[in-house]
Amino acid sequence: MIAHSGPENVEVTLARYAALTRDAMRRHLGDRAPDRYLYNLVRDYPSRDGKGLRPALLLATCQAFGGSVDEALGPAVAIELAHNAFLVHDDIEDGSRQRRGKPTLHHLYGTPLALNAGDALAVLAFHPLRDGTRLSERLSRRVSDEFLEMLTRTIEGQSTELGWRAENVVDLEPSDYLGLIAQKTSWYTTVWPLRVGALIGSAGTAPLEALTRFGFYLGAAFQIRDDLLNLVGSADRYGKELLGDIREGKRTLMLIHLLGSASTTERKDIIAFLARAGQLHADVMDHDNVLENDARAVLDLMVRHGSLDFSFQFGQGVAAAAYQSFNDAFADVSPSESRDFIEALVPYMLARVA
Amino acid sequence: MSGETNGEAFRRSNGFAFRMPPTLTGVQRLGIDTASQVIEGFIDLLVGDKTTELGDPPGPSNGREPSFTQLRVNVARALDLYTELVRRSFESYADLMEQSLRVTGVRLQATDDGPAELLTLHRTADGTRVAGTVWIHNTTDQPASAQLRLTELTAHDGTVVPSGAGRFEPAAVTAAPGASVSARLEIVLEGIAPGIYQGHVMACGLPEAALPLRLHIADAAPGPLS
Repeated sequence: MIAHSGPENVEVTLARYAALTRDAMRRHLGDRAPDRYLYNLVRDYPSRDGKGLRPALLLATCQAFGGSVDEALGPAVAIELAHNAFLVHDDIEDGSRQRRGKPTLHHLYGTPLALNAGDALAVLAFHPLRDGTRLSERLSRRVSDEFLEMLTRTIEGQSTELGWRAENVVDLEPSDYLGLIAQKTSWYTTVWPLRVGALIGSAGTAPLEALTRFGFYLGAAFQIRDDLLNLVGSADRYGKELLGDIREGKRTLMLIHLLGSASTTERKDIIAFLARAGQLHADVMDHDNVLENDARAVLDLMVRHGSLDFSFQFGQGVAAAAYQSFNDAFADVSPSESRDFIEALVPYMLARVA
Repeated sequence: MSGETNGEAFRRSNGFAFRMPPTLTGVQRLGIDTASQVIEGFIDLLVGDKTTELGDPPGPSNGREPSFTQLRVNVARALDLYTELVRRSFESYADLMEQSLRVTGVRLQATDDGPAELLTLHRTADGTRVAGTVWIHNTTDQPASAQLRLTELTAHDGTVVPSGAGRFEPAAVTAAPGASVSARLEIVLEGIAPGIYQGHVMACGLPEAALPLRLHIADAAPGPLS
């Protein structure tokens, strides 16, 4: 009997982990000053309703491997703070207007203050990793090493994506896209929480390869699905601007497929559109109402050339790998509510309709 | 999808829900193969994953004996605990040592060929005297001057070696701030009956400084003297 078979149960457990992480984060940020120019901004994104997938995955994995929530709470806070730091900077880099249904931080406070708050979030993320009261020095060092590795990979992935857009790179394959999101998204969203949760829970004895595979497949399928929802999802539930990825010229799987399927004339038009989008992006301009008609035309081409269907089927294959690889990753883990929760989290992340 | 220009049909049918497909299409297989190649490339680049710190062999994780897995975890946790205890014990000891070394003042110490806290004297070549070196360590930030003197040395039966039997060279010393100086002490053995005598080296002007001295004169061929 799986305790977390339904999405409602998953959401209850997610909310419980999120509350634990939020409380720890609040204690961590404490009464730091100055509020007005820094800490009000630092606390803004973490206070918006997010699902808290990353800390939940980390805490549950730690418990599944025999550890306690207390041991993993510091790293859970660290990943949540780092995630919010990435969001602040991404929103500036992408010229986004909305985040979790509200105005982005740089729209509320201006780019310089928002950038600084993003830097602060990234630096503050290191602090909870240095709490030596819960983990041995050996484990603390390994967790910190994993954290640095994860940050480095994420930044490298982000630089690749920004570079592709800046230089209007169009000769890309699905493998290029997967390599990009492995670094940019999967590593910090799923791979790191799984690896670090297992490290802590098993006191550093658990093999991590199978968990890395599972984390990558899960994160990649989650990202492909998120890219699809950005095109044809429900605006009020998605939380970000629909068609934003096209307007920003993001090299999604759909766009890569379209570039390989379009006629010569269509491809020329798409490349010209991407050049304009890249130029707007380089100027860090807002993309709302900019290139709107062009973005809709690109979406039409994607539909006509089967790019959405291709990406859905391709993502379905990656998702199948995620479902299958869960069993390898958790083969040695005894049955528990935490294990059940992680197993139920897979369809929750990949099959829930936003 | 054909005929749809806004993906509405996709959304209505919950088309984005990735569920485990009963059979795989060609594109789905392409997705699995491509993803597999990408992640295996990343795993090859990972350092430190082939073995854990405690020597876990490489390979898939499944198939390990669950009880052994739990044993490994328990042993690892115990090792961490003991390592932490040893580390903390050492740090406490080192803190105490450092604290004691940081005490400032002027101290008298014996030469380094015996216990620093007890002056050891050696018989001179002609056998008529015993001699040793006294060090004055000044760990203050002021010069320290003192005149060295020997107290009476007393045996268990009350026999006394008078303080005048000992002579320091030089008799008066000055140690600069943070520096050490030495003086040589000689005791003439003539007229001293065999026995064990105890007393102190003192320093006039430094009331806190004192160094115990033990003088052992054997009946026949005398052994080491202290």
